[in-house]
Amino acid sequence: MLKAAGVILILFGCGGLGWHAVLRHTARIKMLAELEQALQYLYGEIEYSGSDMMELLDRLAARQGYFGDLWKNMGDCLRSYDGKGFFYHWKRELHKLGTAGYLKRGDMELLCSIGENLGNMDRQTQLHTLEIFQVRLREILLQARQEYGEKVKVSGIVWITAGLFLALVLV
Amino acid sequence: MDKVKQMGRKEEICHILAVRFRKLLDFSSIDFSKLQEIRLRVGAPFLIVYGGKEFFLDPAGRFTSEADKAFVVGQREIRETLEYISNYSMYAFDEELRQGYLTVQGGHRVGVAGKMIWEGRQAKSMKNISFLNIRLAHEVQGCADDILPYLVREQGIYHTLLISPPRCGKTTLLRDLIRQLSDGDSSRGGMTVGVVDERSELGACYLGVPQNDVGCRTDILDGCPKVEGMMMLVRSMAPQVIAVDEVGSGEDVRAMEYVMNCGICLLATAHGISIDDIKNKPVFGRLVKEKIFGRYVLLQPGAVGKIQAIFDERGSILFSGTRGKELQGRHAC
Repeated sequence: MLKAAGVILILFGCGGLGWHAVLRHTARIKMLAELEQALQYLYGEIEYSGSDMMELLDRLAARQGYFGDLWKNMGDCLRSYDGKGFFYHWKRELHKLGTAGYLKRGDMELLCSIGENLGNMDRQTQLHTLEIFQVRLREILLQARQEYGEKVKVSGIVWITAGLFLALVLV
Repeated sequence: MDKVKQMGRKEEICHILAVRFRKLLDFSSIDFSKLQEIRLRVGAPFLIVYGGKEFFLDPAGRFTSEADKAFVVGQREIRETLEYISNYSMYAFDEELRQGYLTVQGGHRVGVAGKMIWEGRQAKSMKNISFLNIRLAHEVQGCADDILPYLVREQGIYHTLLISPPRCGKTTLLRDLIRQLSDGDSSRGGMTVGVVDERSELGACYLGVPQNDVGCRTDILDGCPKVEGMMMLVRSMAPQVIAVDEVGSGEDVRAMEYVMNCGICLLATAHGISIDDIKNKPVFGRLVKEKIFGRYVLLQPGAVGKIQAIFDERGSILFSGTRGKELQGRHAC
């Protein structure tokens, strides 16, 4: 009886870990999609209204979501006029972002470069740079979506197999 | 200036300055109501115009007249200042940079100079900005008290031209005229005033909201070219008075005539040192000869806000500054 309970617990535990891995993939895709929307928004606002970064960060923060804290904290940091540049705050806030764990290293590097290239250019160059980031992000997002089904399957199989293996070994 | 306003002014100015400059001003315990200009040039001393005189500030924030003892401005500080001025968004100020100035919260004007980038015959942008001139806005409420009676008539006001060389206070005077005409008083009702604020100097709008008091019946077209702005106001806002700053081109004059022909009173300013100077300018000469303007207010060159004379359309003196009248305003802000 105890053995059966142990097997069930191990299987549930490993299944849970598999489910968690699937959720991480899902969250990553949602984050990348949210970032894509944010970049589109920035592009549109810069092109048509020429709003400044503080205003845009406030409006993005109002939407909340995975990056809500980043936008809000960035706005607050910039308003402190503390002598540190935009990129300094961006890097710091990016690493403090609780949801950053869902992203891959490459995603974080892209996010970092976005911050490095925001605000300090003329309008044409700024729009062009945003366009490049949008293209790169779209590619990453497309790849993530294509891999999603595969990853869900692999995660499920791997963790359930691992559970079975553990159950066999331990019980 | 009361303490609260001075604190606000200090905050407005400090927000746009690099941390190092802020510290300098903090050390110096400066009276911000007397601060007129801050001039920043890479590799040159930190210079301020304070109470009408130029001073350098040394690294401890002390006033000095010796340039070699002064704090030297670096490229890094200029870049930092520019970041604050533009709210970390240089792209948002493309048009302003092309014109060579930006207006910041509080209506303060920041003149910029550096390497211009040209596309054909048009200025495209500016890079390597190494020179900044921060001109602090001065709103002097009440400075038009003494001239207003000369401009008012039964139906509205006379078409009026305020004349002076730069930095003599004609924009400040125009702003107070706008405010008083718009608000009205117990003897005279308020008038709807339309302002074409091409350089954001009159209303000093920040995010669309005027930072200066321009009266409760005033509509502002901010950042709009004068000619188009005057036409737009006539068509859309039904103003009784239209105010424009620094007219000077033939197109400006044609737009002004259009406004006058529509039965709208006009308040304008122009650069000049005398009525004769205005008469001799090709664009204004005809207007003076045809007695289009009912009043000319001449500010005294070399002084700030001092009225030299007020003339009527025939050139007769209605008021002379030799009587010692100086427009100091009820309270300076």
